[in-house]
Amino acid sequence: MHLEQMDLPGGNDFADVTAIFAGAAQQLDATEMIFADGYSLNDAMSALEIGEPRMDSGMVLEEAQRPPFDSLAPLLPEEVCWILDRSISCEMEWHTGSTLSQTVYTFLYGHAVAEMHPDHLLNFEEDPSRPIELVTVVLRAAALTVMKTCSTAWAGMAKGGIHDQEDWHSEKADISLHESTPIGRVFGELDQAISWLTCTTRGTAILCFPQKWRNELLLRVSFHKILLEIVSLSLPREREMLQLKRKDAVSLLERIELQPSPEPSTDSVARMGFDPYITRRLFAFMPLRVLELPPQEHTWKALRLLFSGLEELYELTDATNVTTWQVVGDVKVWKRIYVHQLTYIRATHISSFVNGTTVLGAYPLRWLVDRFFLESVGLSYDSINVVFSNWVGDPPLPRFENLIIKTVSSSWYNLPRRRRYLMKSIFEWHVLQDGFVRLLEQMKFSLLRLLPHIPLMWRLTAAENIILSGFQLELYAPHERTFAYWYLTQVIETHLGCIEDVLTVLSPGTIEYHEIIFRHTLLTALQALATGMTVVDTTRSIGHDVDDPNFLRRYKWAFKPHHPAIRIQDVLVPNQQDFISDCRDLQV
Amino acid sequence: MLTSLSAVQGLLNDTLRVTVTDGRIFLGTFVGTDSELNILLLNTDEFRLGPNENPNGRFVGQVMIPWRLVSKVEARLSLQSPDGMFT
Repeated sequence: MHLEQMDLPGGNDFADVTAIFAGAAQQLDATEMIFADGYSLNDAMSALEIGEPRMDSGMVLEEAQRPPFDSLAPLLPEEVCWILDRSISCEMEWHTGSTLSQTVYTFLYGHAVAEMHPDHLLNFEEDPSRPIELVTVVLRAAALTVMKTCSTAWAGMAKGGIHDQEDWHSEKADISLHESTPIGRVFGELDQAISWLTCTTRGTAILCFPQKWRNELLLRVSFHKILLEIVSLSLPREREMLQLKRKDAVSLLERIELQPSPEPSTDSVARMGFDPYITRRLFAFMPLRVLELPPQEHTWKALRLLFSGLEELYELTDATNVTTWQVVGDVKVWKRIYVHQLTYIRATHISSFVNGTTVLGAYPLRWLVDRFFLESVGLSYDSINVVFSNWVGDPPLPRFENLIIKTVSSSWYNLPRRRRYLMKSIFEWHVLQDGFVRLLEQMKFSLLRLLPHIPLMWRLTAAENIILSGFQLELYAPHERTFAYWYLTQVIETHLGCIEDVLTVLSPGTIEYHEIIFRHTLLTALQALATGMTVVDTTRSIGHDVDDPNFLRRYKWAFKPHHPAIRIQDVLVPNQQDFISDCRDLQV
Repeated sequence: MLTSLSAVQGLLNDTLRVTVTDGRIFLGTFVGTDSELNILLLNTDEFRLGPNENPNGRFVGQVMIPWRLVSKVEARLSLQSPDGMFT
């Protein structure tokens, strides 16, 4: 028996039945099929067809044919520099939303870390221009670091807040990212590589290639190391360390950019280190599109974006005002900055703000409610909590905490998900407002009479963001825009009235007073813009969009029937008659 | 003496090892075929033989292998198989 036969999957207990199948074909009618019990034609329809490129994820196309990859093939120092740069391109492409299979896994050295160990070297011919330590020490350490950096970033993104398949791809395709390798061991390998590159006395190999390439390799290995250090920081606790490492990383990146690594020749072994067709050999139900890595400058740009996001995170984690987080988040959404933000940065913002048990890594969830009242009307929750003993219904604290956490975090969600969340929050804020109204009916404290305005203002802010996000997401048909602008002016009008009421009880000169004055100014400007757009759009259309069958669906969050337990009037329900009347006035 | 058709019917729910022209081997449970001999396998693993290949294969689930791609079909010998079924 041949060795190959012994190694066939499934073992040796198989008999050739090809001829029996061929014979059976003669005995079957053209339309006849045979199935196992319980299996039907309907089940067969969902089978993947082998040999069909669009369904067969394992089919190796002609262009994907390539010679076997030799992870221990000696390389020139400039080739190693190029491989290290391109490995970061793979990493950054994963961060911009592609799958690991299409990006990081195409870096073949990442899968061959164990084989590249010096102990695996048997006989090889020493080439002074291609010292083997460049592969077994330097490249091996960098490949291990790429995988470990991805697994650490993966763990950070899996903490929650962002959504698999929407914001990122968590699928690992059954490939190890060295999750179980201790991070200290990875740093040890990197230090060994740095030590080998800086050593001038040991052996002769290191002296055989120019100092220039030794320096370039040192920069790149150090850069890989610092990326791993950054993603392994525990934020926001280690924010100061983040700032230090970020500055070092920016400096290293600038130096690397000054000396781009040369493109290896088309027949270089270095090019074999990347296989964009590897997806056809990995676990995947459907074939994945082959991705070409972008030019290196694109990767450096993505890294600068990463570092600027980290800098902003450093600044923001110092802010102990919920309002600051909310305002920064709103500004990012309004300016569409989030579109360009890496998912890792958005995930880190959310997990730094709240990690399930603490806020900003230091405060209990209850702290959020304190800030909520303090920053809205200048009263701490503790100073008014006695009135909550008369609260009707479920205790309000968990609802408050949940609403504040999600409303603030939603600024780092993707835009459609943020819109969906805000639509849901409209009802939650209404319940709280109703609870406050009931509570204060029993009391006569003048200062507290405005408490229901607090959830109402958050609710109105959510409504404004929902209407505006419809423009950002290009949801509105041209004939729907007039109503959207008009409705925005109405919501802002209510919001301004609320703010003016609250201003009567705030002490001038306090932070809360200045904050609410700023908000009033901002909303007034926004209302003026929306009014202008309403006028412009009204002159172009009759404004009968309220008859559109999509109208109720578009504003279902505002038309949602009241919960039977809520007694107060809903100020958000759009008044179509007012809209039609205003449109007619404007046209006249 | 069994006919080829009844022999194939007797293989339903047995494990087949199908080798295709590009060198891949599919190991799965045989659940059906038709007059064109498209072979349906359930719970299938795909294998490639070679030094850089994954020896554990990869799970591909339910597949249909057209006969034009098949270079060999093998059935797992079973103690219950009638004598001479595959000879």
